[in-house]
Amino acid sequence: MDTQIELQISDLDNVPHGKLIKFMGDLDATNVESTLDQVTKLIKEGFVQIVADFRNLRYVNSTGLGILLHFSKTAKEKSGCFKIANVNDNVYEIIEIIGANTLLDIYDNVEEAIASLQSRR
Amino acid sequence: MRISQQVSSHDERIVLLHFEGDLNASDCEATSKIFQEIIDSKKYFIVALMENVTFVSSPFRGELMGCKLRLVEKGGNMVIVGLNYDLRERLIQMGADKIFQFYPDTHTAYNHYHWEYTQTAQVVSITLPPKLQSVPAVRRFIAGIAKQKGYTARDSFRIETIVDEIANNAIEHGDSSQPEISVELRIDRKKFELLVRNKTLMDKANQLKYVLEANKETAQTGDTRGRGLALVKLISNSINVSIDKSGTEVKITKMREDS
Repeated sequence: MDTQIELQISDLDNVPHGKLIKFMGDLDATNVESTLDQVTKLIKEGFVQIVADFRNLRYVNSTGLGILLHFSKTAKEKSGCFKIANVNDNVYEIIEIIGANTLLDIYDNVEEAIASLQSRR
Repeated sequence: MRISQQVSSHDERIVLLHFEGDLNASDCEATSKIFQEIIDSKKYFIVALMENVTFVSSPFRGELMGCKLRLVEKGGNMVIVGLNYDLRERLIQMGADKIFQFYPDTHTAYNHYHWEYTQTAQVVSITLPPKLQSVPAVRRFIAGIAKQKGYTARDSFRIETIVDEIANNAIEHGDSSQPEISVELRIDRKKFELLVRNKTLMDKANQLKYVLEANKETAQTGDTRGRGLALVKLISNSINVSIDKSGTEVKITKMREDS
């Protein structure tokens, strides 16, 4: 059985081309493909200002980290960004150990991540 | 109060002390003397059997704390077994659970003794089909064991990560015709060991050795496999790979964080 991951996607007020994605569950090798498909579809549709809320993301492995880096790179290539907020301590430690904290835009909370998008305009 | 003692038939290093009736201040001196005799006989592990105890006074509780301290100073311990619910709750309200471990039966107390003092490892063996979908349940199960055994939440999460990455590698890079992956966990109070065995084609096994020996430790690498193994290297204490005709065996050791 695949690990459950659910993405809840909503608009970001006052941020053109913006979307908030709430990640819920575990991001691992069993569900990276479906996650990749959903987020890539958004980016292709032009939603390149993305805030990912990890409040309910319990677990992420190296494969999951790989697609997060991919989202960040792809959004930047389209003059956008992929920002992450509310990362739990265990997940943050894994991100930090692998050195991805220097490559990802990480914020303490969603409000700060959105404010940074608004200040870019 | 009535008190009697016997050496445990389970392990001669353990003394069973049976307490009965009300444990009052007037019983402190006799109890202290019995504890001292046991310590003088070089036995430092006591299981206090209290299923027939009807009352524990504050002075007697203090006396038990002092006796426990004398055992701990000798590298031993005393645990309490079978205390009825009301008495146990009253002692817990007074903070006694910070000092004493309470167990429902001697079997559980013996398990505690072996876990804490004899470094007995507990072993769990699992075989799983070579499908990525089988890994999440296994990794969560093993992390749950670590947590239940007193490993910290951070350690348990790291263990979950180790199991996930190594099992995924065994599946993704193993021989596609292999019938199963074997996972063995050995856990004791101080360390966690994971052994994953699978059938690997020789060229892929050599790639695995190369990745492990290379110093790939950052996210910059585009190789997903390298990233996962680099992560495991960084959160474990040792990683060894042995390869022969029968397959690949990866052994990971991780020391307990607070040991």
